[in-house]
Amino acid sequence: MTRRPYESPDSWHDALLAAVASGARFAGLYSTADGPGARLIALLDAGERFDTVEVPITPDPTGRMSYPSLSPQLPPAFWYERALHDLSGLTPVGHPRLDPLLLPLTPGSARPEPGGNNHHARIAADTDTQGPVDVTGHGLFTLTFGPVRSGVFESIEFLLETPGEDIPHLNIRPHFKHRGVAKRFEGRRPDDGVLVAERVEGIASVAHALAFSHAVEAAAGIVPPPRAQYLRVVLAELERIANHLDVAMRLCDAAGLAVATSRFGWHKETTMRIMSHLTGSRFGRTAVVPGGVRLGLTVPDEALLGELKTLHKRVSDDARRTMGTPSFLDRLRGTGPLDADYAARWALVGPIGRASGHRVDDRWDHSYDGYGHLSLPGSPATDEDGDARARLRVRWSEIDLAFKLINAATAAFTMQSDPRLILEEPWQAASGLSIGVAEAPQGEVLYAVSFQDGQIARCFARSPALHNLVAFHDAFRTDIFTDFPFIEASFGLSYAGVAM
Amino acid sequence: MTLILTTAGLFAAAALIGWIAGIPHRARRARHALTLASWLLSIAGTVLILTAAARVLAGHAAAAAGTQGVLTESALRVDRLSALFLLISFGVALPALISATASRAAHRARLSSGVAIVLLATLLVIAGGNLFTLLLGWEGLGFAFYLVVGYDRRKPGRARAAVLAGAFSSFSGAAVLLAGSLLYAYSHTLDLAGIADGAPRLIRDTAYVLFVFGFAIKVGLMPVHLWLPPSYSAAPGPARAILAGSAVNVGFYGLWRTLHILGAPPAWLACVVLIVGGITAILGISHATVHADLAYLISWSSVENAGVILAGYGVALVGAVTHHPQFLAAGLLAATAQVVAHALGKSLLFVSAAGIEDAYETTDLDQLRAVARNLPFSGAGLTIGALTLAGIPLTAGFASEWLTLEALMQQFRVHDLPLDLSLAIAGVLVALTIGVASVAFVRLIALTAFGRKNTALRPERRHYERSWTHRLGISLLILGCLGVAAIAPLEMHVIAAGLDRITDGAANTAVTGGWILQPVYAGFSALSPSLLWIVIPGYVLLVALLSWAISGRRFLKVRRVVPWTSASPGVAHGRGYTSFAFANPMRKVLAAVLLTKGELRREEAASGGRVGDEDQGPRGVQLGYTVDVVDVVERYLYRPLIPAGRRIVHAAQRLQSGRLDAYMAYMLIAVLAILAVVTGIAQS
Amino acid sequence: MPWVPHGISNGKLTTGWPKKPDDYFDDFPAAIEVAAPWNLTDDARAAAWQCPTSAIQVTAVGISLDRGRCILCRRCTLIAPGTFTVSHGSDTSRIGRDALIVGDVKEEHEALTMLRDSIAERVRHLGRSVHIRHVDAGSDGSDEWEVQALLNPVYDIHRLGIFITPSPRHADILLVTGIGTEGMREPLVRTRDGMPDPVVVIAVGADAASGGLIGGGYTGGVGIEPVLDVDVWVPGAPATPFSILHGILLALGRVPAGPREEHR
Repeated sequence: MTRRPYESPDSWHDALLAAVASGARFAGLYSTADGPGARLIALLDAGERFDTVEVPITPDPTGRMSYPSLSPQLPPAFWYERALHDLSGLTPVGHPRLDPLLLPLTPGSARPEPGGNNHHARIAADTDTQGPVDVTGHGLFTLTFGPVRSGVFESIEFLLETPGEDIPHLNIRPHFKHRGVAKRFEGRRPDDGVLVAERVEGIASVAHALAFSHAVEAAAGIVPPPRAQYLRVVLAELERIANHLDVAMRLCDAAGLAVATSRFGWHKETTMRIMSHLTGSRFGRTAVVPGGVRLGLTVPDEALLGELKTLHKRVSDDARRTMGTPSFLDRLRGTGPLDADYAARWALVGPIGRASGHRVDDRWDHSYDGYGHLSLPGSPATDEDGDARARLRVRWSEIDLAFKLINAATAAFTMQSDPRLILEEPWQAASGLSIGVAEAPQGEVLYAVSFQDGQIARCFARSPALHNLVAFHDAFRTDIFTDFPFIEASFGLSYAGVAM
Repeated sequence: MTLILTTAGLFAAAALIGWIAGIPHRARRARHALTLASWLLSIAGTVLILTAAARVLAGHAAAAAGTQGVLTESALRVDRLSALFLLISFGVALPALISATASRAAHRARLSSGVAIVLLATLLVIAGGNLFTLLLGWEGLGFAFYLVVGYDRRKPGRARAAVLAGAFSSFSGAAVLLAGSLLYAYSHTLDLAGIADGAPRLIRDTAYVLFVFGFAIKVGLMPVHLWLPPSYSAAPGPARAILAGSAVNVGFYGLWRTLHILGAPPAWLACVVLIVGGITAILGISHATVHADLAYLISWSSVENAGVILAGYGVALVGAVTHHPQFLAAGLLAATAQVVAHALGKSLLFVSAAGIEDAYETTDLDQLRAVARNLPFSGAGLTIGALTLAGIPLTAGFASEWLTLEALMQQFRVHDLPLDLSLAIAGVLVALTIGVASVAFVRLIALTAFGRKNTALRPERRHYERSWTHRLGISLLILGCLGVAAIAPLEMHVIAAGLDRITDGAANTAVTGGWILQPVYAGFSALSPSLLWIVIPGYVLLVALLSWAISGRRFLKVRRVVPWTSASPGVAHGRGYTSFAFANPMRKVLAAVLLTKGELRREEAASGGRVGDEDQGPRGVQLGYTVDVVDVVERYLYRPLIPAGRRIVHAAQRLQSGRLDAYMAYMLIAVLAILAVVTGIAQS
Repeated sequence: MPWVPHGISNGKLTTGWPKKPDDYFDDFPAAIEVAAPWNLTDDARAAAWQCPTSAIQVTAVGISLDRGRCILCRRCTLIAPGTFTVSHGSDTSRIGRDALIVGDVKEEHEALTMLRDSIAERVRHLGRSVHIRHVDAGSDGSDEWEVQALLNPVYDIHRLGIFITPSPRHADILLVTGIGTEGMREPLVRTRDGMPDPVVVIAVGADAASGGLIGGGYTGGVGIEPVLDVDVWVPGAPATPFSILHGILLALGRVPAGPREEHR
């Protein structure tokens, strides 16, 4: 990791755009309270390592903090700037649309200011406000889809502006379930912090715990024992299988393929039971801790590998059937398309990016834990079509690979002579900023954690959902109401990770 | 019969008084008195005609009236067929007129005059015993349509609609004149009863086609429906019911009369009528289903009904071709029943729409909400009228649509492939139409009549709604729509009596056992709308009672909460499902017929969109969205003709380029031609 | 092979629970038990001190653990293995918030009996057609997976006449997950208002019971009790499908209420 501090917001702005123009991938933007002012930090993937491009923002005499907005030139900054405006009160000058995203506040309210010592500040949220209307035209109205939606969904509100059937435009309001996660990290020890990280996106607990632990381990300068590293791969890949099966299940459900829905539901249940057999939690929680894995986990054995083999066979068989069902493919083909240029401009991560030819996968790009020692294929699975079908195809390939990786990691695990699962010697995270990544099923999870005296001073959890969901705005071309569940399922994002 | 002549006189007087009332510089009270007098005269005339028609249908001798002189034969004659159509036309005109007297538009002078001319012309056509009277009435009707449609000619689109109505009327008049002249050349009589005598097959067939074409223009059959939706919509509120509910029936009368005097048509004509009828029906209902304007929606449903009625008429033609009197009777009976249902439903809808337009000052369906709550009578009229045209049980429309489908199902009795095929195609299209119609009118009832109340109506806007005449008019029509179903056997008897000359009495078997209707043929299927009137309300009552009894009176305990909208706080100026949006899936489904086009565009400031506000940018721009539908016939049949038409007009302009000598020459030629014709007629 | 015969090719997958015992139900480590509530060791005090959600109370006389706060991190079982043990079995849901507290607790019979009677009265007419409306009041996303899992062929709640309904108008039970954020307060109230009376409210997960680890920040989120009167509590982080099912059947009176506690 390289930190690149700048003195003035303008030079920071230009340097950042120049870096992105020369090929660095924009991976996030956040701010942290810094005395009376704030520090604005952009995260860039510079290939070998991550860079932070930083600038201090000082309040002007009226107490207002501002900086030149990135969004007009750098589209993916669009939501980040809104989010950090909500939380930290920094105003991006020239932002196209500075509506509240995560936290609508009553005028004059204090802001949470993550990183600051303001735990008793009075935050007055004004969450029950009416949504915006952008499109005018004959017969248009807004279909409010959420926050309490039809079925078992996370709470989020989609405002579909429609003349009926078509979806020319939609607005997304995730703020209803804003939990204030950022502040919940602060002041905790790393071993408590990892528990918070697991709850940023509950369905990708392992990936979040990994990314957080990687940040801690980098700050403490420690390396987990080899066995722990391989066990982490097993858990992460199990989680990937479960998530991808969930997407497949929801797609089949949307298409009314009842048998396929049931079967993928069953396979997912089997996967989660294997996870609970190993860790005691169906989501693999409290298994990954900084310095290794928790004691008392069950180690994969022959019986479990046999079970996984059967599962792999069943999943592959059902995947093949699904991809041979014309009535299903008809609904996916050309649905919710995002082209390669769009994916690159918006720096999309995860299966959404990869299905549009944007090849980002931290298992390859920033290899961690056991992945570096296992034989990965030359490159992650990608696709060119960019539609819902392409996203599903990418996921099938990843499921296939996940089963193979679990086998390989288990084999490597047993070959290790070092029996330790966690570092026994004490360690402390060095003060300062540290970055950790992991590839969740939804895409890259990125943690930027600042430590102070061994405790967390500020933790920016960059979920793939926050980064990717903004593309949902543009996924509707000729698609109509009935395509909505397909596009949503094909994104496969957790809204907890958006609202934070 | 003097009654008819008296009535004609009354209408003429009404027209005259209405015209006088419109002369400017008169005291307001006098003008109002004159206008009211004009309306009252029309009402009186209508009552007289109804009396006369009822007497004829009840079995009194056919009435005839004529004056000695140039027209030696009966100029006005009311036989049973005429009486039936007089009963239908003026039966629905009466409540429409009663309602119209209270409307704001009625106080504007000369609308009554125009309406009186429409009524007079209608009377002349239906009661015309010879070609001359019929044509006189026909041309008068065209003229009256032009006047009434163009009444508000300063409003956008009205002048064009009036010209369209006038132009299509002229075409239809020309066709009828040509057909009549062809027949006259052989029979040498203008009397309709004998006009077809002696004409060779080819001439008869040509005349048949021309008659059907001419009359079909008036009822709005595709592809000559083009004028109808804009013209009906352009007419002032209260007059629409007269045009669309009452006067339109002269077209059907003409078709029925053609079948009466010319008998069997060429077989291909029956096929064409069936298929064109079916296509018209589906085209009309497609547009009605998606149109964003109340008046247009109802007008397009006129096109649909013309199609359904013509399908029934087509069955009758097939019966005539194959010499099956029962088959003919089945078709004609169904078509006439549909004419009755349509006249009632259409009048009711337009009378209600007049009240609604008066209160809301618009017919844009997106702005019409909670009509039944704001305007109970007009709302009830809208609901019952929509149910009637959708063919829902307990209304007149149910039995008639059932009869039409049943008549089309008799196809197996015909053993001729083209006729068989045409019947099948028409049957499928009509069935589809009836299905789509329910979607069209669900929208009207659910969103327009009973939608969420979002605008409070000021009390003074309810003036028309509150007048007792409007309420009486609507009540009479609702009674008609529901009552005709309750006493369907009686309706069938009356229709059968009206058609007995054409069907040789075969239509009498449509009612069996006193209560039950059947499609003329016995043992095929049966329906008793009267029994439904007992059974359905009975079941509703039974279910209500059971629910009440079982629930232990909790049934009546209601906790009211806001409608469920996903627990969302909503959006700024939020509104529920718009009428337009509700119809949009149909725009997609019927895209092949409607050529739906949608586009997302950044609107210019002029059209309501906002671009480039201070804090707005690429993702904050106000966007505009439109969805358009196109009348295929207009786009692909008429539009290519426009350049050719322009060229003809240019050529014609050269003929009369303002040179007086040329005019003199044309007039001389015309006089010579007339003289030649008159001499020719006198000598033969 | 077409889908339908393929669907039955693996035989019956559905659990027999509650009619027959199920191994996964019985073996799942769904809760922490205070094995020795009166053994006030230093380890126990250390465990209470280190508990990330302060679920453990150590008083002068005894130790109690609030399962409504416990996020099952198992730290206490590692620090004080003699005092805290992992308890197996998914029958963890309880009627009444206080019933979630285990260890050294006084039982309040009267209030509990009243609540039980009230719930029984409300579900009296439901029979075998029970409709559930789920609301996420600020979960981490995992709770929704577990509720959704009730529909998969393994749990298949339809066999028990239980259905998840999209409309609150048809719902008998309100199933709430999540910490109860400020933003979800109004939507939650609107959903409750949109349901016909009577209603049974089930809070699912430690998040919904107490806010868990995440709740209690500036968005409020100390569980859903401040917004709704909760009848049945399902602990867990997240609660497993079997625990949720147990909670639903407990509300319906179709499983005995807390057998272990009854006999203690």
